[in-house]
This record gives sequence, structure tokens and C-alpha cells, in this order.
Amino acid sequence: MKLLYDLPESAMESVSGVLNGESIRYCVPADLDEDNVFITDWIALTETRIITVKGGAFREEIAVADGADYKNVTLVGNGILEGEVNGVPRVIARYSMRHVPRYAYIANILNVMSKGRRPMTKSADDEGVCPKCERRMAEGTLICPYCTSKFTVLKKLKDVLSKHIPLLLLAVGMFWVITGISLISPYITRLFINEVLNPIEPGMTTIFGLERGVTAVMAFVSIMALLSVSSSAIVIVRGRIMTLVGNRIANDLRNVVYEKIQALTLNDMTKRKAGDMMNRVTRDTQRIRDFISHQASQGINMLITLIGICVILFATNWRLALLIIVPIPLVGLVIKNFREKMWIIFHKQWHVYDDASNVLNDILTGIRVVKAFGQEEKEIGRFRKASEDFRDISMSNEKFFNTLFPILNFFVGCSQFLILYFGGRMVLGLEMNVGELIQVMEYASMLYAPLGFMTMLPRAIANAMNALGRIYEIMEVEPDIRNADESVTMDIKGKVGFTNVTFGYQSHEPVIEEMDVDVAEGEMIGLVGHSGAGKTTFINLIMRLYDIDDGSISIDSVDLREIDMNVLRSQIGVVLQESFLFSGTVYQNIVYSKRDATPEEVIAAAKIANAHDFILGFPDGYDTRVGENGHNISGGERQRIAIARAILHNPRILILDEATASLDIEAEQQIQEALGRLTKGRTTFAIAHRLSTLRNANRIMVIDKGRKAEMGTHDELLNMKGIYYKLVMAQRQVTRT
Amino acid sequence: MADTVTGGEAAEAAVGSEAEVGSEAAAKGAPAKETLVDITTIRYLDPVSTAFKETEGGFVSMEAGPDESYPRVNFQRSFPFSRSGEFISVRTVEGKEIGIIKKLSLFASEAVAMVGRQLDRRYFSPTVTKINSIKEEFGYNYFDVESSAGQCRFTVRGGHNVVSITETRVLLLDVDGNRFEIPDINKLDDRSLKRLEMFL
Repeated sequence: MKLLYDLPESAMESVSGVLNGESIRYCVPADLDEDNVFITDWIALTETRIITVKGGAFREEIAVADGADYKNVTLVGNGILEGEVNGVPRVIARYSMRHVPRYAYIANILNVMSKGRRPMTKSADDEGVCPKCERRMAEGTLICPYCTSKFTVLKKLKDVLSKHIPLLLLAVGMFWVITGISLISPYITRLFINEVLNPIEPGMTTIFGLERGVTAVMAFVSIMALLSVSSSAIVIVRGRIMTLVGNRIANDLRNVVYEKIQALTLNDMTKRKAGDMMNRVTRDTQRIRDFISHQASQGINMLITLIGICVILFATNWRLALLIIVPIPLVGLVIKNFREKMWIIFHKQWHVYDDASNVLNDILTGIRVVKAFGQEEKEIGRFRKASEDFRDISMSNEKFFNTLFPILNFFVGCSQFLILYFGGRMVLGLEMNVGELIQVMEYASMLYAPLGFMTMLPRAIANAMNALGRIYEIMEVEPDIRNADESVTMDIKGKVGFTNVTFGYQSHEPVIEEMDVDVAEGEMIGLVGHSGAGKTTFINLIMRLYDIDDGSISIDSVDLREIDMNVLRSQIGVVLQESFLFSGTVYQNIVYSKRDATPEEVIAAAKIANAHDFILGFPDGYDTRVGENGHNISGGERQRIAIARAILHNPRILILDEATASLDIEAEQQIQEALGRLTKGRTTFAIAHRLSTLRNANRIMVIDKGRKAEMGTHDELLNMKGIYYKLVMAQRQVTRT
Repeated sequence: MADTVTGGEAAEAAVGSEAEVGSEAAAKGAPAKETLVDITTIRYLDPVSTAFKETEGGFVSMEAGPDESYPRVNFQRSFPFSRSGEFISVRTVEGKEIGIIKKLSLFASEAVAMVGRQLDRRYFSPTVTKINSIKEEFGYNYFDVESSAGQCRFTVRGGHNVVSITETRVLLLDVDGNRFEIPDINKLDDRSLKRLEMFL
């Protein structure tokens, strides 16, 4: 975090007079004033003072020791640094959200200084800011999307593309042949008219030395048919090659992106939407495939055709060629402008369609709530409105298109009239023959397809590049949790230690603070506390789903960051409140934690989890399909399958996060029994709101506002008459009522 | 006085009263049916007896009666978008709700200004007056705008951070968590609106 900015020269001059031999150790921008206007003020910290710079000049100094309880307070869309200076709480600086994390550090530094200690926090580079354009970059990415050239993106994907290059080249070669054939056809037509059908010079032989007559007609028709057949055959082969290459590239890309997503940490994942990730794996790769197999390949084809036609037209009759070429930029411009408008129109239509789909999705997924509150009529009205909106916008768009295209086609076709008129006059004046005129007309008609295509190409390229960019962005993310260079592989026994651990999902908002805990091998620790106190965060840290900001966590006295992540997680078992079962059979869900488990082991695990009997109660036994669209199984059954999965895993450390919270008493008893067997001899961390479920715990830890508030046996904590005591009493009262 | 009276001036008169709700109705001989407001306790701060004072350090203190004073209070809107001047929760520094200002405009003008300044500080979202450019790169949208807080350049990730609060009101959320607001897109100039149109 950058905590030492350079003051502008004039501000430095103004401040230097009050430094009195001290130096500026930290200096950060305060970019927002009390009138809600962005400014460039500064807060500088010397060894003993806070110096504020306003309007480019020294404004005020505060002795740090005169203040206490310095805080960065995150408001909505901005933050303030406040502190109690000489016993009066006051605002010291105000800033935009960009500087909130910076001020969290500054507040800590000030608190350390106010206690007479020397802060050890060092300034570093400003992370998340592009050094070139100074724009903000998203967390976790190393590239600035604004400054990255598209070419770099393409280069990065060369590994995926390179192995398909031979096939791509073959397809491009075929394009050349197809284009050649299509360009030669009008020339053959001209020869056919001038040399076979021309009535002016009877008895003349044709270009191939054939007598004018049926034989010559047959020969020309045969040539034309042969060219057409060859062209069609090559189009088929080329199409197949492009489909093959396109799909292979899309498949490779999908796998590369998916592998990268799997490598991302939970921290990276929670910052992104699942739908967004899915889109990158499916939609963006599909777009690139479409671009390669359609737009890019056809683009080459069209470009060659366009150049070829222009060359031939000028060679045939430059005056007519000019007549054709001159309106081209104009027509191109009109098409381009309408395409922009069309894009917006389509975009709006999709948006309205999305809205209608979302309404439908909302109603269908929440149908129980709709029915329970008797809101069917209202929901019908809501959907009707969304559907009508879609109808209206579709109708208006289609009306627009149905009017636009015929008019556009007419104007595009207008140049044909010009050619006919001027070309006709040339033929009559014997400046040109009929064959040439028809050849020119054929080329002219061939010109507008590539032209129309070219106007569409920039957007197609932009879309494909954006898709490529989104994929690239994922591929560039460096997972924020990595194995150490020389990570340790070990058999975990189960001793867990937290030393002065501090952690926040955002570093300026700690969720766990200065936590010290020692847990012996095989011990069961109950974790209790209010919602949001930090219990789940605590167990997430044991699993190293996140790396801590300060302090250390150890397992068997080895720092967690030193242990190979796969080794660590393969020896930790988890049962969550809502256990997730994948689509598949009960058997597949149990062996998920140990792929090579034998059927005997699976049955044994299910028996320990009290799951065997109900599984056999299903008609399909262990082969019963569960998950989405599968067999409808109850929460308790789902939970016991999850426990069987955890048992099969045979972990040394077990984490139970509200494992029985959503179950009825009977199911809970069965699961408690199963858990009793499961936790035996394993270090266990169990989170529970229902305190009675922690009766087997050796010790209980109460977490309050991220800190270890109380820790001891059930009896010890009751005697303390603290938070735990209150919780127990409150629950007893609820039970009684 | 209970704030369960509906319609016109009666409701207006009831606004801001701070007694336990339901008591008046009970005294008059129990209503036919209890409403939700009757069975809960919402303390509305009285515009007359509640006094706010700006502190030396730039915060606000409150006296809610002869024996009830708070050296510093914070203000939070219950409906930041839909009713920004109503139902403002007044809380202690520790975050405990003291009461609710049902309608700020019923308070004395100094109090309105004072609370308004605190709310302006808490809810900072500059109003966008003109969009100079929006450049889209790899799913990030780079905005360059003129706003009530000056010219700003900021980065919005994806289209979902351009949030339509109503048909015409739009909120832009940048990658740092800053907020920019367009109160009425129809009041933007044509070019700005065209630039924004893709996201609407």
C-alpha cells in the first residue's frame, strides 16, 4: 500500500517551514472536501505530528500524542479519518473510496504513534493502479485493460491457437480458390456472350477454337457447371474444416479458462459472479469460435473478393468502374450508421427480454412464496407488463427493420441503373460490347455483399476481442493463495495454533482480530458467538481458504502457509449446514472425497453416518440419483450423506459448521450419534447456535466481534457468567417457553 | 401520540411524536383491529423538543428531552433512494438507534441544515452532469464525466454496476466503491445520453 506520496513542490515549500527538523514519514491524499468537491489536499505524518495541507499550502498541525482512538470510518461512497484530539472527537480528513484502505493503515499508524511507539508499517507501490495511465485496475489482475493492446491478448493465446494453424492455413487456401472461381465466373459469362452468342460475326470460332453452335454452348455450360461444382465442393470441405478448427479452439479455450477458474481462490471467486464466470467459459469462448469460423474466415474471403473485383473492374472499363466505386463510401457510411442504431435497438430488445425472463424466473423459483402470500394475480400482472413491454419493443423494431431494408436495398441497387444507362450508351456507341457490360454488372452486384460485410466487421472484431479480453483477464489473475516454494508434505496429527491472527476480507475491515488459540490433537472445540462474530471466518482460515493479514496459524507447529495446500485440504473434512450434493448418484456423492474408495468402505462410511438404512430404503439404493432433478431427499438425509462423505475422507481435522442446525430433533439425534463416532480422536471445530449440540466439546470458544472473548470448558464458562452464560440462559428460557 | 392516524393534517400533526405507540388508541377504548404500528415500538423524534447542535469537531450532538442528551449522534437514511428526507435513523456512535426522524423538513431550518450536512457527508454520490466519454475494454468501462464534484475519471466493471434505480435514475458504481448518480437521464445532453444508452 502506498503510504508515502510526494507532496507537490509548492506544498512542500509551505510545509518545510513547520517541519522543525522532523521528516515526513507518511503522506497520503485527502481528495474530498466538506462541500463534496474533489480536491488535492494532503495529510502528512512526521515523527510526532499530523500536518494537513489544504489548497496547496500548510493548514494545520496536530500533535499525534494529543489524540487517541484514530479511526478510518467507511461511509457511503467516501470515508473519513477521525480521532479524539484533546478529548474532542473530530474529522481530520475526508477522502474518496479509493483511499479508504490507505487510511485504515494511517489510523493504525496513528494509534501506534499515540501510544509512544514507532510504527513499522512501510509504504509500498500503489497496487491496483496502472503505472502507465494511472487508471484503477481490478483486484487480482496484473494487466490494465485500458493499456493492453489487443495484439498482446492475441499473443497470449498463441499456445491455444498455434496447433490449429496448419488447418487454418488450409482453409484460407481454399478461400483463395473459391474467391478465384467466383471472380472468374463473370469473365466466362462475357466470353460466352461475346464469342458464342454474338450474332454480329457469324462463322467465327470461339476462344477455345470451337465452332459457334451447340457444341460451343455445351462446352461453356460444362465449364461453368464444373466451376460451380468445384466451388461448392470446396465450400463444403472448407466449411467442415472451419467448423472443426472453430470447435477445437473453443474446446481448448473452455478447458484453459475452466482450469484457471478452478485454480482461483475462494477470495477471487467471491469477488466475481458465478454467472459472469460461466459466461466466460461458455459464451465468450463461443463468440471466439464464431468469430474464427465465420467472421474472420469470411472476412479474408470478402477482402480478397473486394480487391479482386476492383482490379478487374478498372482493367475492364475504368469509367464504369469509377461510377461503381464512387458511391461505395457513401453507401458504406449509411450502412455503418444504421448498424450503430440497429445495435442499440437490438441491445434494448435484449434488455427488455432479459427483464421479462428475470420476472418469469423470479416468479417460478419463488412460486411457494407467491402462493403462500396469495400474490398470483399480482404476479400475473407483473409478467403481463414485462411481456407487453417486450411485445411493444419487438414490434417497433421489426417495423423499423422491415422499412429500412427494402429502402436500403433500393438505394444500393441504384448504381445498377447508372451502369445500365451509361453502359448501354457505350454499347450503342460501340465503345463496349454486350459481354463486357454484363461482366461489369455481375461484378458490380458482387461488390455489395463484401461491402456490407466489411461495415459489420469492426463490431465483430470488437466483440471477439472483448470476449478474448475477458478470457485473458481471468487467465492473468494470479491466485492470491499459493503454495510456498518449498511446501511441506506431512501427515497431520491435528494440533492447531493461532498466534496473534488478524484477518479481514478487506484488509481495512478486520473480521478476526489478534486471535490467540491453542488446540491439542484430538480436541473438540465448540465455537459460539453471535451471527457475524467471525466463527465461519475462523474455520475458513484453518482450511486456508484465505491468507491471514497478520500473525500466524500453525498445524502441528508448522506454519499453515508452508504446508502443501492439497496435503492440507485432503486431511481436513467439512460438514456444512446446507450440504451440497452434486448431480449424480448417492454413491458418487459419497466417494467424492475419496475417488478410489471400495464399495465396502462406502457402506462402512454410510453405516457410521446412520445413512445406510435410509439409502437402502430408496428403490435404487446407492445408485439413487440425487442433486438437481434427482431423487427428492430430506435435509437430514442429505446431511447424513455429507457426513458419510466426510467419514470416508478420514480427515485428521474435522469442521462442522452448523451441521445439525436445520434438522428436526429426531434427525439431529441420529446425526449427533453419527458425529460422535466421526469426531472421536480427531481435532474438531464445531460451530453451533444450539448450544446443546456442543455437549461433547472439550472446550468452548466464544467469539465476539472477531476476538476470542471467552474460552474454557462448559462449566468454566458458566462460572465466568459472561457471554456464554448469557447465551445458555437465553436458550434455556426459549426452551422453557 | 400514536402515529397511526391516516390522511391529511391528522397524519401531519402526528408526525414526530415520540410516545409509545398504541397508548392513545387504548385510552380511547381499544381499536377494532390492531395494526402493525400498534404492536411495535418506533420512536419518532419530536421536531419541537429535539435539539441538535454542531460539535467543535464537526459532528452533531442531540438533546431529546431535559434528561436525555447525546454528545454525538450519527444519521442514517432508511430509504436512501426513495425517501431521502424521511425516516432518518438517529444512532449513537456505537450504532444503537435512539429514534427516527420521520420527516426532516418538519424540523427547524437550522436542524435541517445541520442534519443535511451530516447526511451529505455520509452519502456521497456526485451528480453526473455530462458524460465526456465511455471507453469499454475487456468488460471494464472507463468513464470520463463532469460531475457536481468536478471532472472525474473512474472505472466501472461490467454493465451490472450501472444500476437503474428507476426508469430515469441511474447509479454508477466504480471498482473502488465510489458512487456517481444521474438523477434524470433525460436531462443529460444528447451525446451523453447516447453514450450511456448501451447500459440502459
